[in-house]
Amino acid sequence: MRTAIFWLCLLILLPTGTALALEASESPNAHPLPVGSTMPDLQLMGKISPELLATLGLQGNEPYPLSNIKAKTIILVAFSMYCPHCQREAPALNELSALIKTKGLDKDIKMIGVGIGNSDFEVNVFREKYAVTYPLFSDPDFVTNKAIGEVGTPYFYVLNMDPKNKEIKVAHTLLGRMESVEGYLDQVVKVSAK
Amino acid sequence: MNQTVRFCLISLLLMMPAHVFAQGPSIPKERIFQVGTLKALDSTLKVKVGDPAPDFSLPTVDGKHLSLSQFKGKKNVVLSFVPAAWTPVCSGQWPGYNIVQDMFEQAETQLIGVTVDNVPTLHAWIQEMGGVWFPVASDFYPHGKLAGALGILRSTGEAERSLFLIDKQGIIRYIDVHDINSRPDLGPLIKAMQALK
Repeated sequence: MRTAIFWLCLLILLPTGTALALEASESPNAHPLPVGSTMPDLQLMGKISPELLATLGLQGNEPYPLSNIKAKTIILVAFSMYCPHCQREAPALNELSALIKTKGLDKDIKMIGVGIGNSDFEVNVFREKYAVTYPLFSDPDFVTNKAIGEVGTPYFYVLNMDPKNKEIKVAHTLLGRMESVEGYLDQVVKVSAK
Repeated sequence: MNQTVRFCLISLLLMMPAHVFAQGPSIPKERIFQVGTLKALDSTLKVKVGDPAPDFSLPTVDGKHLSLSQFKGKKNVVLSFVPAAWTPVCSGQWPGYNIVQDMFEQAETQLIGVTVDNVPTLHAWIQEMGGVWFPVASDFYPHGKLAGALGILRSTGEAERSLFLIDKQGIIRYIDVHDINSRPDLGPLIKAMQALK
């Protein structure tokens, strides 16, 4: 009887286990920048409203150097309009942005998205479809993606700004969807620049 | 409760949320065939904007047949050819169209996905993708007949990655035969669709 129950459970668990596949569109050439390394000063492109730009302390026309963002920590989310995991993660990312504000962290921690291989039009489709509340940049020619290690999507970089040394340091990385918004923000706070 | 039963029940409880959340489109990397970089274009287009589109009758993954003539006078048609199932860019292109169904509907345009793969292959691929809202048609037999008529059949038997917008009168109004290695920008296609209204 015990043996029968064990095999029954195993049969149920096997397909469940396969459902645990990583929720990301993986990139065969991915070589993410490791934690502790320096992030290049990305030249962010995109049509962003002046109001959203102002939340990052930016103004004027593209390109916007990453180092010009007024923040202690930046959460950079590499996404694609074409990536189903990113489509499903979009509401959670809005929640993350809202939670940063609710917790009063929005002065120090800023969140941006970069649409990997996405034109301004495609980024705008994503922005409007999911009523995205944080700034989204475009990367039609994969220039940013090459600089950040040809990562899959969604990919999360937590970046700490070091204005003294004019450096941006990788503090945390995550491929695939967040397990929980609160849990992820806790991790970000733990590694963020104080 | 003996230990085996307890272990199984606890495991099931722990695994359940992951099982629930993992529903939906997801093609693991190992199931995608890596093609490397291919010759950007490998065919000679036989039609141009302003030409009547060749009619076709192709089987679809839902067991029907689609022809261009059935849309005449009713809807514009976009044919989205991708080179092959289970390849990287192709597996990324159509899931993006899943979030712009409203744009196609507003422009009174029927999107049809086409490849030269056979129906069972397309069925498995689309299922693995998590499904798409638009019909997917097979130009498998006679092999690449429609692709050949349009002049987008490559020497290796695949179709070019291409988009054709055909108006309600059956006239081709927009063509994008794209570098096979990259995804066409959605913007120009949507603008061309909206200009037809």
